[in-house]
Amino acid sequence: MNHRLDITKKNILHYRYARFGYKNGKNGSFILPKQSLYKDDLKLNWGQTMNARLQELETEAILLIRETYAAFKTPVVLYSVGKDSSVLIHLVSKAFYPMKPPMPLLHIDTGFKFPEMIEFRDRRAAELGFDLVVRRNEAAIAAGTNPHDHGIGSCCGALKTEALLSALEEGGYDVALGGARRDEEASRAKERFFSHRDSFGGWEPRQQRPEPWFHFNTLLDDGESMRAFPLSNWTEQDIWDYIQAESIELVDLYFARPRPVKRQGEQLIPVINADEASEDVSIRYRTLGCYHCTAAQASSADTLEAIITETAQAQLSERSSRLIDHGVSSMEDKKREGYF
Amino acid sequence: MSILRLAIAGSVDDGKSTLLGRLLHDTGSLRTDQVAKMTRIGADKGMALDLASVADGLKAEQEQGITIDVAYRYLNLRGRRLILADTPGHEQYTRNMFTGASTAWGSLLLVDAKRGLREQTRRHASIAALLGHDTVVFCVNKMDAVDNDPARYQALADECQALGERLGFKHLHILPISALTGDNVVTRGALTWWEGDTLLDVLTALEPAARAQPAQVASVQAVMIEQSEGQTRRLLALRFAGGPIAVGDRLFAGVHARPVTIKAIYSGGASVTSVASNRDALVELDEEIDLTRGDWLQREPQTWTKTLSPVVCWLGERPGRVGEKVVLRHGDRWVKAQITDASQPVDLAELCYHSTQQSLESNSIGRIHLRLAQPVPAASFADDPVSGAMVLVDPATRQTLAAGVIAPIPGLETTA
Repeated sequence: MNHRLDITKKNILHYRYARFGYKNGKNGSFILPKQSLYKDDLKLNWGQTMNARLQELETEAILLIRETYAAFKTPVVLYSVGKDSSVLIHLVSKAFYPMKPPMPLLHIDTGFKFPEMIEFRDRRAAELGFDLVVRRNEAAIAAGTNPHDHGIGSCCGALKTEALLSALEEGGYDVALGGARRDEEASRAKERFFSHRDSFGGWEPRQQRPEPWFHFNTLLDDGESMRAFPLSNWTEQDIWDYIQAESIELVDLYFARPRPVKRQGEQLIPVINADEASEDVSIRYRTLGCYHCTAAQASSADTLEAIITETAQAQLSERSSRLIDHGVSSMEDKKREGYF
Repeated sequence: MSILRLAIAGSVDDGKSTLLGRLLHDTGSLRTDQVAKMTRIGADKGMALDLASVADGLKAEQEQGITIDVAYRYLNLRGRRLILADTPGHEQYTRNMFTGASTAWGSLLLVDAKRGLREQTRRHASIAALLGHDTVVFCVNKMDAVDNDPARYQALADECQALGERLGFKHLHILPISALTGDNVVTRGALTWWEGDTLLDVLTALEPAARAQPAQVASVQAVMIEQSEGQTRRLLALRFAGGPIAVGDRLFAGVHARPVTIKAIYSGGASVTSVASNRDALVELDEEIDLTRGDWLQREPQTWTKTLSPVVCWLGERPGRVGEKVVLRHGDRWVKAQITDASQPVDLAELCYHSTQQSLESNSIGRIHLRLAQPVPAASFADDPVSGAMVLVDPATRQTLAAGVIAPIPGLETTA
């Protein structure tokens, strides 16, 4: 079954009607088509072991997810296949249970994603009952854009930001949910739950809307959009604790296995091409991005318990392994441009 | 254990970001690369550690050395999670302070031991009172700059005590600290004469007030219609504060108080028989009635009104004017509204209401009077934070103008 739906502007309405039903004029709600598959075939293991902290964070996230459904016309979930994304789509599933999730997943494929991520993405989306939209900046990929020749900034700009902005515009999505967390990075610590974007997709951090309580100002002008971050208040520790409590399946790259790598300074960079010189080291990834720019860490943590212990003892912050984040305020600059 | 949600507030340069950095640093909450960054930025400025640099994440903030927007930080204090909103001190950014304080249930209010209490201290204390914070911790900071003088501390502590009592905070803590040197933050340090708790001791002992009484109203956040095997069901996503909602509960729907019974509840991805207010709920009613996003379910029929007189903090860049039309987000509904009568701004120096005025200035607090296009159930914010709060938006620009609560500020009403 091919889950890579090709949505053009022309058939977007048709797509919405087919998948999500139509908007009922009388009460403003969506009519959802047949949902029964989901009840009989739950691929989720709802956890019984959540503590008060995780319950509070889960409830907050579900409130935000439902708000994107209720207050916007065309929500979409940004799915990066990473651990935070995996938690996010699990929460989206929970927020609408016993119904099938009424919003599709959007994956921006840079062409540099690990093959394991692509296989996992297609399988998980189908198991959880999501429609999956995959977007690539084919022109930039065909032109051979890569971080070594073009620099990390322009590579990210073309393969991620440009692809994302055109996919959002093309799909007419007025709100995009992402798994970003405030504890990841300094400019993200300043982000609202609902983050307003101008009609160019840009973020103006000095003019963010006040956000009193959970009474969100969700009003948009034509062309403007919103980013929603249900996991804003989660830390790396919460993500792992929740994954364990809820038995959420992750792509295997998070677990330590002997894998081919090359050394670049102190960082271990994965080798995908079999022809390239490499050595086998027991490594895992703390965050997952494109293979050119994601450093692995030597590790023997091959179970969730071992990862949680390792994370608690880690000396470096999470995104220190992401080459794209280095340099003063680089994330803020990218977010201003429309990066998630 | 539940999460501690607190805001750090106070006037500009009272040391909020430094205290945040100190707490993160001294509780071992920072990774080595983050400490290295503090050291590197500190070296440029001629100090050992630039503690405040951990908080200021925007370029404009780093350039100007000020906090513009609220930053959220996450600490584990002796096994307890603390979400700390580091809010800006400048009056100009009151909207961001309000944002950070609104999701907290307590605040750390900083007072500069040298400069004493300022208008901004009283503004932030009043906002904390408006937001129903039941806990306020006054930190008399920069004690190192007044030679750790106990007499100076006592004079300021008395002022804090008077302010806190005036505004009616249930739990008031006052203590001396120096965020820069770390004294009395995690350990006693140079404040050897202080016999009370350290800040860390105070923080780890805080508890949010329990809300045990049953929810009086629940707002319908979303209506979802499920179609399955020829059957349709309407499921309502509810928001409510207070005790549980259970299958079999008899509730009253909408302004006409139509009786309905809860038939089924889904929460946390399962069918359940009851759900507490701190959990999500999708409910099915025993009959299909016309309910939409923004409608209300009531335990007892409420009094509905088309006039409200909330106390608001004016967050917009321009003042609010008598006669202007706004849209109001009340619960999950947008309601058209008009500011009808003269407003009563709060005098932050005297902590009393000014005489009435035709406008409410940016960043000020005051009571306004609204006429609504539709009736709403409005409880006091203290009884019900869902129906007792509202946000005013400019219908033309979609900018948020004000946030308000249906509540008296206890200390102000007596002198009004």
